[in-house]
Amino acid sequence: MRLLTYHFLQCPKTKTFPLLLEPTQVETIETEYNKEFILRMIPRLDWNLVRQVSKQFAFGELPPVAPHNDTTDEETLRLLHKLLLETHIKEGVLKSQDGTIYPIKDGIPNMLITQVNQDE
Amino acid sequence: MQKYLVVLRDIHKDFGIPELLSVFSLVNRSLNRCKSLEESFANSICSASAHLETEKKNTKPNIFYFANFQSDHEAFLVGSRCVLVRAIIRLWSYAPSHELCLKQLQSLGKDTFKELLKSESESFRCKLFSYGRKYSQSETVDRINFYSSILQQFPGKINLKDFRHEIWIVEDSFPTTGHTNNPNRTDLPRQVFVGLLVAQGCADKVQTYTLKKRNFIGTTSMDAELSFLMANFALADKSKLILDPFVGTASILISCAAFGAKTIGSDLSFTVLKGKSDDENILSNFRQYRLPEPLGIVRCDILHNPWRHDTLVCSNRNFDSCGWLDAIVADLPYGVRESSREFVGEKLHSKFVLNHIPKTARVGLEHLVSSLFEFAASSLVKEGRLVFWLPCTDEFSEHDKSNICHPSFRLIAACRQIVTRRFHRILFVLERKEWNDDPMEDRTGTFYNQSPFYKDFAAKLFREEQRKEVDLWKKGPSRRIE
Repeated sequence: MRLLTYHFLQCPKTKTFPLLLEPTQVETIETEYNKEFILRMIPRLDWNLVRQVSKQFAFGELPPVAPHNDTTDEETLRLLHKLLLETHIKEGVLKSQDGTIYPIKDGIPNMLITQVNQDE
Repeated sequence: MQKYLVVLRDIHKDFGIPELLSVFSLVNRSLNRCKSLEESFANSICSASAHLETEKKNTKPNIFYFANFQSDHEAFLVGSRCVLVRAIIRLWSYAPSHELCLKQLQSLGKDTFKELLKSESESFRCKLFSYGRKYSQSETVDRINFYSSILQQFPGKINLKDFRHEIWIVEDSFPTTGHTNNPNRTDLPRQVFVGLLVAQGCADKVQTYTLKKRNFIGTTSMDAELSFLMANFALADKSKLILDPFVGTASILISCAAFGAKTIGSDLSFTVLKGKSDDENILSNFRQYRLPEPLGIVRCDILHNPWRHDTLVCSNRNFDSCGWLDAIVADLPYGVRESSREFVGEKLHSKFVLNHIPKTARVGLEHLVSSLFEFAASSLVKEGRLVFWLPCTDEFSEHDKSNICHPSFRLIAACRQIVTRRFHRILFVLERKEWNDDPMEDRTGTFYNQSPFYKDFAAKLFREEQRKEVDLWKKGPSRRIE
């Protein structure tokens, strides 16, 4: 799962967004840079979450306001490309606010609601 | 604005013109042009044999259509992306016979042929395309030579292999009676078109994606031709994000990725997501064609899907930034080869959660369709497309199309594919309306109150009462998650 996909996932049980991402294995898979695609995606993202994730993955500080369509800030766009389209979460877990855990195995998150029985 | 002849291929005839219109929309939108052009283009299309059909009752497939394009370049952009377009020709003349066609050509001004008259380096060749009739080499040459008085005025050389222009002589010779292969045919062509080729469809490209040579396929992998059709209906291009919620072996996403779109796939079945081995899984299919890998492969249940729900998020926000997906493509499991399933919640000890493969149970197709609409309404951007198949029997009528409606969507096309005499399926293409047009009342529930044409499809197809969904549920207890 690339980090872009993570930005569109919510908890299927509580319907809360965003989920908490706790990766244990991360890979970088290079892909062709497409400025138009990044520009189209920016307004669809929760910018505060993008900034937070950028810090979490040591990509550094992003500008406080999302770049607009006519931006000349090529550096930020390249960084977003690397962050969202090239960072692949291979193993880890997604956590919901109520504590539900969704495991990511072999790059595939399992978003089925498994009801955990705490008593046993 | 000029008149062009669109020659369609002879397959999936219900899909040809809707595909052309969709691709026109795609080109028009990518050029950021006025939306009204799409409507005027749609109005310019008319069947080239409409006048013939009124004379005699004619049920033969028509493959010839007139359409207006603004330029050769526009016609090229549209035509070269269509799976079902054979060729687009800028019309010089058309008439009921070769003789009349030649007469018309001779009366045309030099301006018509300006590209070919420019210089000696404008090499060309001439092609005879006869629909419904096979000609021998010498017969073909005879027919081309018939136009020699026109062809001889061009200064360029004729070169069959390396040419700049191709002139098409198109003959509509489908016999009114009898067989096309009859050697003693004496009938004359019904009509003749002559013009300059400006675009050929992408059937050759599609051929390289044939399922026969694909590494990882399943029982319900989508045929390459139909997958590319779906990608065209979904307006796939390199700035789009497209999701398939029933991804299976990713056959539909492959075609979207081939047009440059970024893709996400999800499925309930873990066996397909995992694949057979490292060289036989969804990713290996993308690698096989050197396409970029999907941005996500997610295991989830569409009935309780984990995708961001913008109907809740957007209430106070700018409607222009609502939605995050450009298109959803889907081939629903309708219970013939693949059963419709949902995930069943189980009580589990917490230490098993990570490695547990959860249970699934059968669910009625109408639940899947209504969840699909709910998901689409909360995730697609304005003018985003929802493209999906539903099965039906030969009893399906135009009226049944009204089963598929949703207040947030407008119907773009519903094309029927005849799979067997009794088993048909319909490709529905819908487009998301403006977000601020959305009615605030409950969007769901529209599907539960009726008995749609696709309900209990397997039972209807096989005429087996025991295959009704209600009876299948009885076999196993299902505990639905609330």
